[in-house]
Amino acid sequence: MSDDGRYYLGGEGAHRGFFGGRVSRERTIGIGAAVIVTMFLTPAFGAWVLFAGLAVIVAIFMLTMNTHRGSILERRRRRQRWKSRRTAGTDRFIPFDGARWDMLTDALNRTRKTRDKAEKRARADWQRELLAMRAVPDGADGMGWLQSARGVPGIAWHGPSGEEPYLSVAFALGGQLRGLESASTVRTAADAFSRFLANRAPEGSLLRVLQPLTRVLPADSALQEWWLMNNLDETAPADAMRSYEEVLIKTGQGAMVQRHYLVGRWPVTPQFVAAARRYGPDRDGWRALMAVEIESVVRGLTEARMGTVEPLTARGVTAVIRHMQNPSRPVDYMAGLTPMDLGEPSHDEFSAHIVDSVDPETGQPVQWWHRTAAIHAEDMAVAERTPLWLVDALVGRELDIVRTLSFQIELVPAAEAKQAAKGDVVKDMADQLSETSNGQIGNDETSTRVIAALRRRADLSAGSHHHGANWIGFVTVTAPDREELAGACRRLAEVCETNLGIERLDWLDSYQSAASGTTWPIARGLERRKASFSAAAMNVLAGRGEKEAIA
Amino acid sequence: MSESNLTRRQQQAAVDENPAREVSPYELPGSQLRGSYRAARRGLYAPKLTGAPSTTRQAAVLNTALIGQPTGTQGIANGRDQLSHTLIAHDPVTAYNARPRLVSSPNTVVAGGVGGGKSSFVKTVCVGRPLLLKHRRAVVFDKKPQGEEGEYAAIARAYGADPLRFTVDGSSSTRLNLLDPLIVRNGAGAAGTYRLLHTIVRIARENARLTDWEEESVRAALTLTLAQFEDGRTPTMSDVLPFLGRIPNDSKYDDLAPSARDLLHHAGLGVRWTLTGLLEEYAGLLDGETSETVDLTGKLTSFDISQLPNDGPAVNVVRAIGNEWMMGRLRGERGWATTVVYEEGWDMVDGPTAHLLKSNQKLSRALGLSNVFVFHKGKDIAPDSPGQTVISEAQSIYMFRQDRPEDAAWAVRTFDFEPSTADVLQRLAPGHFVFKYGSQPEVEVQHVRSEWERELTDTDDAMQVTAEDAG
Repeated sequence: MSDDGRYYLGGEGAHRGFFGGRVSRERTIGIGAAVIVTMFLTPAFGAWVLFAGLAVIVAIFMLTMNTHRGSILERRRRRQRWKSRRTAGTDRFIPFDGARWDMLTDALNRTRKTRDKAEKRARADWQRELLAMRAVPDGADGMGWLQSARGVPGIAWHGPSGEEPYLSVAFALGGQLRGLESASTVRTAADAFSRFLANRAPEGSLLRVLQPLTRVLPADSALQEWWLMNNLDETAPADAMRSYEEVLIKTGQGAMVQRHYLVGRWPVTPQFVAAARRYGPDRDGWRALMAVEIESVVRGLTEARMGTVEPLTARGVTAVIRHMQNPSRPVDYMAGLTPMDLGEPSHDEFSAHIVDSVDPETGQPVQWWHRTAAIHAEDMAVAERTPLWLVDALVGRELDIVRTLSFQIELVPAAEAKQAAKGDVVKDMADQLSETSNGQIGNDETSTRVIAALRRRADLSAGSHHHGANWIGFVTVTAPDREELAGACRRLAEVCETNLGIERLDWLDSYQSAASGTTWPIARGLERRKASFSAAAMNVLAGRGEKEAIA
Repeated sequence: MSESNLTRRQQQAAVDENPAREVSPYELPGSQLRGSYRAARRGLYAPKLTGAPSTTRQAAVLNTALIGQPTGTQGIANGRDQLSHTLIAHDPVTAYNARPRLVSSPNTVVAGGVGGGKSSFVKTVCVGRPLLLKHRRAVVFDKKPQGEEGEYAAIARAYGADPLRFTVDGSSSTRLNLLDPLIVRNGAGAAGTYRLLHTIVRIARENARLTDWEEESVRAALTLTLAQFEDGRTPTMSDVLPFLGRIPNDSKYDDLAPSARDLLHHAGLGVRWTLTGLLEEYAGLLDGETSETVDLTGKLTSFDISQLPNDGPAVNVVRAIGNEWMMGRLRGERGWATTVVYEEGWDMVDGPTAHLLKSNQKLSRALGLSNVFVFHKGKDIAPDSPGQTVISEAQSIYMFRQDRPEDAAWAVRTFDFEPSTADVLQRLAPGHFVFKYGSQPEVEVQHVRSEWERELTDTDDAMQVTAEDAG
C-alpha cells in the first residue's frame, strides 16, 4: 500500500534507451545505422553524403514520431498487415471441422489439373475456406490443454509460434468490496492485492504474469430463475408469478453486472521443467507441479480478500471465451461444449472482429462486433490514483456497453527491477540536468519520468518487500453492429479520458481478431521483458537447482 | 460386438490413455495463422506488447476484481444493488438455511421515516414474494389503516386470503373465542388457554403482573368451565366469568384455611371484574363463538387491527390471541417457514405484549419463525428496554431514509454500519434502502416492484386521488 493510500501509474512507458529518455527501438536502430553509414561514406564522397545522412535522420525522426494516432511507421505497418492478412485469407475464421476439411482436401486433390472454369473458381473458394479453417480462433492461436478433464482446474497450454510457451489457469473471483465500505477497508483491500503480487514476484517463483480481468455484461437472471423454479409453490396465484417475472426483468433492465477473473501465466522455462521433474516424469510432473501452484494461488487470492475463488475447468474457460465472442451465449453456458470448441465463426474488418453465430436460446443468427485497444502507461495522465479509480469504467452508468477490461502484470524480481530503476533514475536526471543547465525551463515529460523512476526506486528500497511489475492494459468493447460499436468506442474513450485519466486508447486495428484474445482469460498480449545482461548471467550461474534437493 | 459398444470401448481406451485430456498446442489440425516464425516474433500476427515499469506496490490499483456481488442468486429478489447493479436476492429463511449459514438469526428489521417506501417493501419482499415458495406462509398484524380497512387487505385478497377484520363496534368485527380449540391448538389445551387468559388479563391491566392468588383463581375457573362444557358446546369467555372467585371441590384446596379461601375468592373476583370490563367494552370482539368466516389455514393470515383504537387494550388482545393461535399452528405443522410481520411494531417490541415476542424469539429457530419488525426510528424503542435486544439480534436489516441525524446515528450504532452510512441514510431516495445481512458490509439498494405490486402496495391512495383531482 502506498503510505497515504494513493498510487501512481502512468508517465513512463518503458525503460530508458541507450540515448536516454523514451526512444523507440526503430528510431534507435534507424538513426544509429544512418550515423554509421554517413560516417563511413562521408570521407569518400564528401559533403553530399553528409547532407543525405542528415536528411535520412530527419526522415527517421518524422516516421517514428509518436502522435495521438501513432507514428507514420506504425500506421504503415498496420496497413501492410491488413493487406497481407486479406491476401493470405487469414481475415476469416471457421472452426475446424475434420469431415469438411477432408472433403475439401480431397476435392482439391481431385481437381488439381482441371481446366474447367467453374471448377477453377470452386477450387479458389475451397482454398479460401481451408485457409480460414483453423483449430482455434486467432485470439487463442497455438492454444491446447495440459489438463482439460472434467471437474479439475483447466490448465491451458500455449505454444504460439514466435512467442514464449506458457501455461495458464483462470480463477473466477467474487470481488473485494461490497457496498458501502470505508476508505480504510478499500485501502486494506488494495494492500492485500499488492502483497499477493509481491509474494509471487521473487526470483524463484514460477508464476510470472497475472491478468486481472473483468467482464461487464448485461444482467442475467437465469440462476435466480433456476432457484425459484426449484422452490416454487405451483399453487401460487398466477398474477403473483407474473409479477415476480416482471420484477426480475425490471431489475436486470439496463443493468450491467461484472464477472471477475484472474489468470496466472507460468512460462515453460528450463526452470519450470526442472522443478516439474521433481514431481513426476514428463508432463505428469508438469501437472503435479501445477496442482501445487494452483492451490497456492487460491490460498493467496483468498488471503487477498478476493471473495470466492474458484479455478475454472477447461470447459469453464472455453465457455467464457465463447461468451466473449458471442455474448448471446451465457457466460457459464457449457452445455455441449468440449474444451477445444474455442471459436465462433468470424471475419475481420480493419477495425473490428465480427463474429457470426447463433443465439443458443432462440436459434436465431446473431452478429457481434468487437474492438480492442491497448492501454499504455505513457498514454495516461500522471496523477495520484485511488484503488477505486477504475470504478467508472467498470460500473459507470453512462457505459451500458458490453466490455472487458484486463490488465497484465509481469512480476519482476526486486533485484532486477531495482537495477533498472537505478539506471532509469540516472539517465532521467542526466536528461533533466542537461535540459536545465543553460538556465532553460526543463521539459515536463523529463520531470515526470524522473519522479516516476525515483518513486519506483523508493518502492523497491531494501526492506520494502516489494518487487517490480511491468504492466499493460487492454479493453474490448462489443456491440451488435458497426454503428453501435463506433458509438461505444467513442463513449469508452470519453469515459477513459474524463474519468480515468487515460488520454488515449491504442486501438489494435488490422489484427482485431487476435487482439480480442488479450481480454480473454488466457493471458495473451504481453511480451515479457528480456532480462538484463547481468540478470541473465546471474540466472545462468544459479543453474536449475540441485537434483537431490526436495524442491 | 455391436458398433456402439466398440465406440464406447474405444472412447474409454482414449480416456485411459490420456486421463488429463491433454491437447498439444503443437499438433493442432487445420490451417495455421502464423505462417512465418520471424514475422510472429515481430508481433505481426497478434499483439505482443511490453509492459510499462512499475512496482507491486503501485500495481495494487490494477486489480479489476473490485466490486463484488453483495448476495448470491438464492433468495427472494429484493431489488438492485446501486454499486454493482446486481440483483439483491435475500430472504432470512433461505439465508438461515444456507450452508454455511449466512445469518445466525432469521429475524428482520425494517425501519425508516414516512414516505421512504418501507411499507411497500415489507408487503412485497417480506410478505408477498415469499408466498410464491413452497412451505412458506405469513402472518401479519396489520395496524395501519388505509380507508376502511388495513393496508394489507388488498394484498391478502390477491393471495386468496380474506383479512380478519377487527372493530370495536362489534357489528362488522371478526370475533375470536379464546377458548376455541382452533385458537389454542396442538394439544396445548387448558395450559394454552390459561396462558392466553393470563396474558389478556395482564393486557387489560396495562401489563401489571397477576398475583399468585389471581393466577390460581384463573386456573381454578378454567378447570371448572372446561369440566362443565366437556360434552357440549365450546365454552366462551363469558362462560368463564361466573367461575372466577369460586373454589373448586378439589382435594388440593381442602387444606386451605378459611382466610386463604377468602383470599383466593377475592383474587378471582378481581380478575372477573377486569374481564367483565373488557368484555363490556369489546363485546363484538371477544364475547361469543369464533366467527364462522375465520379461516386460519391459508398461507397468508392478516389480522386487520387497523380500526381498533391505539389507546385501549384491544390491539394487544388481538395480537395475543393471534400469537397463541400462531404458536399452536407452528408446533402442529412442522416443516413450514412462517414470516410474522409486526407492522408499526414499536409498541410490540416495547409494550405489554413484549414478553410474547421475547418468547417467540427464543422459539423462532426451532419453529421456523421469522419475525419482521417494522418501525420508524430507533427512538421509538426505549434505550434499555428488551425491545432493543430484540432489534439488535436481527440479522437482516433494511434501513430506509432517516431524516434526522440522531436517528441515522442510532442505526449506525445499533447495526454496526460504517460511520459514513449515516450520511447515506439521510439522503436515500424513496424506494432506496441500506441493506445489511449477517456480518456483510451494508449496501444501498433500490427496491424494484412490478406494476401489479405497485397497485397493491401504494398506501397513498388519498393523496393520489387529491393529486388527480388537482390535475
